[in-house]
Amino acid sequence: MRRFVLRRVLLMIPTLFGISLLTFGLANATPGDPAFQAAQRSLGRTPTPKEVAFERKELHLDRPLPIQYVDWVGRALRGDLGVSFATRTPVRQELFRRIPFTLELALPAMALALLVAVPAGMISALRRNRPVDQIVRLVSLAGACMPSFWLALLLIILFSVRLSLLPVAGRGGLDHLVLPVVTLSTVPMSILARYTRSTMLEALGSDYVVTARAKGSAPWRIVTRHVLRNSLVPLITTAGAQLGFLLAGATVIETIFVWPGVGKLLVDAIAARDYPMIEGFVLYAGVAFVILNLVVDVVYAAIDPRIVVGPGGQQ
Amino acid sequence: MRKSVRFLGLAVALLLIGTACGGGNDNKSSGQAASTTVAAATTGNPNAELRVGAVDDQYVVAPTATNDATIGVYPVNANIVEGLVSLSPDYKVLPALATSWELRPPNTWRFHLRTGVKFQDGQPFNAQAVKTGLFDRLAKVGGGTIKSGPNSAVVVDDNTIDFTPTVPNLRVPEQLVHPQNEVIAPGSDLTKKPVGTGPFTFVEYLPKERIVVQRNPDYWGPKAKVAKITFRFYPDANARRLALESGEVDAIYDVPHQDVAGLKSKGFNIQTSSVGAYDTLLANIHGKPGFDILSDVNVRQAIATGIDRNKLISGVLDGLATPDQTIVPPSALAPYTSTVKGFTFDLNKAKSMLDTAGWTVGAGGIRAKAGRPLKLTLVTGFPSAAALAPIPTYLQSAFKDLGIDLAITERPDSASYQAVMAAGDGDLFIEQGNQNDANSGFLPTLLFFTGPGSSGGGDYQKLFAPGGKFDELLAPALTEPNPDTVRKEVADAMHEFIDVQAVGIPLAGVYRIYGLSKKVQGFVPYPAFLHVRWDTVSLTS
Amino acid sequence: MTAPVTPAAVAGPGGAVLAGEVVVPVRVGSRRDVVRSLLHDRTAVLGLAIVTVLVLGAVFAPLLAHHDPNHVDVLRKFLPPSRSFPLGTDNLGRDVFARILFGARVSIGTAILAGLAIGAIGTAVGLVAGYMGGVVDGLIGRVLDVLLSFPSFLLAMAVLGLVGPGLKNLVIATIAVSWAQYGRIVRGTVLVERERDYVEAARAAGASTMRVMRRHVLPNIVAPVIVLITLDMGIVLLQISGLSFLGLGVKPPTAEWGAMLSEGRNYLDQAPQMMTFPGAAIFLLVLGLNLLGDGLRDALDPRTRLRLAQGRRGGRGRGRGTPSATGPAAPPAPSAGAAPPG
Repeated sequence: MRRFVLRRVLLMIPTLFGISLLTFGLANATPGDPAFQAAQRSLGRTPTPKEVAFERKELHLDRPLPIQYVDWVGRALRGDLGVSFATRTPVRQELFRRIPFTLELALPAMALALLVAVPAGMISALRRNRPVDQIVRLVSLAGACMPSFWLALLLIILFSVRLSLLPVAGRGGLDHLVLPVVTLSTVPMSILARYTRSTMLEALGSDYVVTARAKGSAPWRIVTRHVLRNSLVPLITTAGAQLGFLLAGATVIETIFVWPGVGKLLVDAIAARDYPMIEGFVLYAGVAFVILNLVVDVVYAAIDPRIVVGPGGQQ
Repeated sequence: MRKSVRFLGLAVALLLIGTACGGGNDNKSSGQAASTTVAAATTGNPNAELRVGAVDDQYVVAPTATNDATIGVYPVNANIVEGLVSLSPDYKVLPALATSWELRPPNTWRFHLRTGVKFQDGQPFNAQAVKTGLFDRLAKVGGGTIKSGPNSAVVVDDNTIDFTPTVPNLRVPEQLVHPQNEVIAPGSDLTKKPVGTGPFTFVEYLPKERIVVQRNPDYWGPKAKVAKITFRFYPDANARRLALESGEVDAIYDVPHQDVAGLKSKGFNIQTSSVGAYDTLLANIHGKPGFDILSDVNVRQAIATGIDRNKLISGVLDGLATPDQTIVPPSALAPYTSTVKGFTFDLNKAKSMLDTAGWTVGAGGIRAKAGRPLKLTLVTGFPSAAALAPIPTYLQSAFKDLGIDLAITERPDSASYQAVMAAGDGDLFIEQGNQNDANSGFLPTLLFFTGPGSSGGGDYQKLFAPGGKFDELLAPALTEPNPDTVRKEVADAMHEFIDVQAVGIPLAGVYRIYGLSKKVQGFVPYPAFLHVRWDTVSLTS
Repeated sequence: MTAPVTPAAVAGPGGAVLAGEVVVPVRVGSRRDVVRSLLHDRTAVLGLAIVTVLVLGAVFAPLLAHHDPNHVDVLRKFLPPSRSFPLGTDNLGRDVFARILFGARVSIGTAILAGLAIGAIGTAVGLVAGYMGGVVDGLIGRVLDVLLSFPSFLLAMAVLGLVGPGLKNLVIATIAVSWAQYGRIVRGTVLVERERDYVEAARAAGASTMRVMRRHVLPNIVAPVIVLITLDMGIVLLQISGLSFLGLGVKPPTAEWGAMLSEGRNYLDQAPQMMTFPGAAIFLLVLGLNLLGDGLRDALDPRTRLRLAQGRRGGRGRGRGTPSATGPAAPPAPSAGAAPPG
């Protein structure tokens, strides 16, 4: 186990290196002269060639690319990701300020998804092909096919405009959380319900359940003692991985609900051509997801020792 | 697996929910309820909290070489700070922290300050504070519009200050109305907590979320009528409108024109300002190869003649704009507004003008001249593409009737819009500009003037400056002490810019639309958002 | 419908993660068997019908639409659905029905284009990595790790933010960030194929590496990859329409479902049809693709096929009573970075 973790951590290094290269490459792929744009942004007008030259020096863009890269990585490691074109605040500071807002949506959404999906998936599996199973499958299929931006608008029209029950947008009291959290949870909820159902069905069909059944154990006892324990393990790790994808979905949801999280930060940064912010976002998101994947893998391996192959590992 | 019918049923049900939710409205009852409330309660609740749905948060939170921080100041003015003068809704300069002022030729302005005023942190308001908190502050960030230098401000006595701009500038009082020329308390930090003399004091600012202010109990003028104001930022106009409708906020800036009728029918109070902004096309007359078609004034005149502004206003802008074609707001040009004539729509005349200019109808109805098709690029994005949509699409269709193939380059915001302009990649640029100060010549001077004393080779000048007669007409306005004469000179220059040269092809005069719940009283609609006063506003319970 | 869904799939913003898990593609059985079992699966038939109708609508858009989708007539804006305008008109008086049909061309077209490119690049890279092994595999593996460490939607957004919006850039960004998944799946499959007798035989006969990969291994993995792409087309569609919704896609006046929906949300009161119908179109197409994809997978998986046969013979009641016959393919390890089962 320790070797597995060590190996996984070591494998992170080339990935992180790749992410830094990717971010740096993307930053250099932006059309136009970055020094010109930075100067234009900070002056609020077209800069003179002299001002552009000054900015180029200021941003260290006058050095060869490899040196720029090393320099950039060095600063990134110290947490210096540059200054946002749009807000003129340090990128890191702005990113960290916004992360809690996104978690405010993502964590309840994940909790809601699990709370609904797991029982629903279990019931669905236990009542296979009965009406309740059909309903769960229908709803989970629809939920997974639903464009979340469409669902968000439909919910706003129904609950905010028609019924005046919930706020339209913005961050505030608990009532402000309801619509964005529900919308955000729809996709993981649908996926987890389907996943729970299929793992349950698999477990129900496995040898030990058949044996337990043959021994005459009560059905609920089989479920709680054997099936549940065996299905929950992959489920929890599944949920962990889903959390990462929730953050992607948050971009659209936060935009519609005017929620000041990192998703909206990215959308705003794109609209404002705030290149330092976009680059900082890519770098941090990459690192965050690498760590999240690591945690998921390690947890999974800890629970199920059969898994010892890391990503990209040779079979 | 076999429940195909149910799947179909579900899909249909979801569709029905969608259609039903968005269906026609029947909210008469709520409208009636609202009006009875108004009749019952006329006095404001002094302890009320007013919630305002503001536009996007564009506060600058860190000063740059040419820009000071603008938290709570611009573009959403939370009335924390004040200037020496203020602007009336009809573009007149009013006394504020200065009670009077006079020009001491050749180039010095003397301001007599209001006495008995204190900053919100208890510091006394006096000439020294004005020097530190206004003129010297601006000098550090490039001088601002008023061109303040390190030695510009001289304290005469405790209540008198002289200001001499670094270049001759006789428009100082007109320019000082802009909120960015406010007086902040010496030592206060605009990037964290602005402190001024205004009717409200700063409570908190959460970027992209909200800014909160509370009543200043020691204000020198009439005290604010609500205890607290929370401005929430809604960059999306639709979300802002829905927030008003659902009661999340009591008032909103910038109601989308398509929602005005709906809000009215639901009992909301819609207030419109006088015209203070304009939608206009600007023609690139100095275009590089590929974007040089509009260097021909005849083509520009034809385009200007071929736009049906009445249809644009009634059909696209829901009748919520005026057919003004002066670019500079009519009230800022009065009484010389009629000097600028504008264009009368005449499709056939426009077509024959294009024929005369050598652009004859070719394949697919698109005109061509010497094998080159009449293909123009329209750039949109000022202040945002969303603010102007769907006008470009409408123009595209209208231009097709003229035999012009119009491509649209869309940029989300003004910075990226200006980048396209800097590169010169467009024939026509559409923008919605706002007159923000009392200087009628502000905009033409800043953007299109290349004569002596001009700010020089900006992006606008490079593409749109007509030079010659336009500069001759506008030049005296810079050194003219009498605002009335300035208005006449600016009107003459705009006549040249629009009617003669057709560099500016105005589309409509635009006024600002505010949406208020029936509880909101005493609101005055200003033609520019940044001048809105909230201390007169009360909220009935 | 019983197919397992795993987190390894990439969530589009708009939502669906249905297929795309790390499955070792099954060897495709006889084509007639597949079609027969597919046609016996009623939900798959429904999916096929939905997809067919929408695709036909796109193909025959000029014949079906009464109006030019871009023709502006502000005097007839916000008309409710009528005989002449089956889905009403929008804020510029354009025919929503025509725009949905022509929008289908853009939406479906870009999804197909992106899907094919993703499949082609993923296959090529996976093939090379899996077959060559060694340093090449190691290098490619690291590249895949990097790309797979992001949710593709986020990365596509960032790429678009940096290179600028537009339909062409949108498709390129989607392809650039999405092929890695296939690369990994194909690599896993090739690792298995490489050890099979026919490869050994070809090698023994003196065929070059290039030739073995192209002429022998490739044909054996193409069919499963096509199936995978079909399964994922819904996700690609949601991703593209989501990016368009955020304003990173088409330029006006081009009709595209995501962009139409985005435009429509400003007119919820006046013309709900501007929002509801494009959304419904996306939803239906994704639903159809998923139903079809699930059916395809079932039809191609011999185990499932067996189960179907039993189910039909045994009737529903008994089918439920024999749990040993239920299992769909076992769900693979859940980590987003999990290796394909070899």
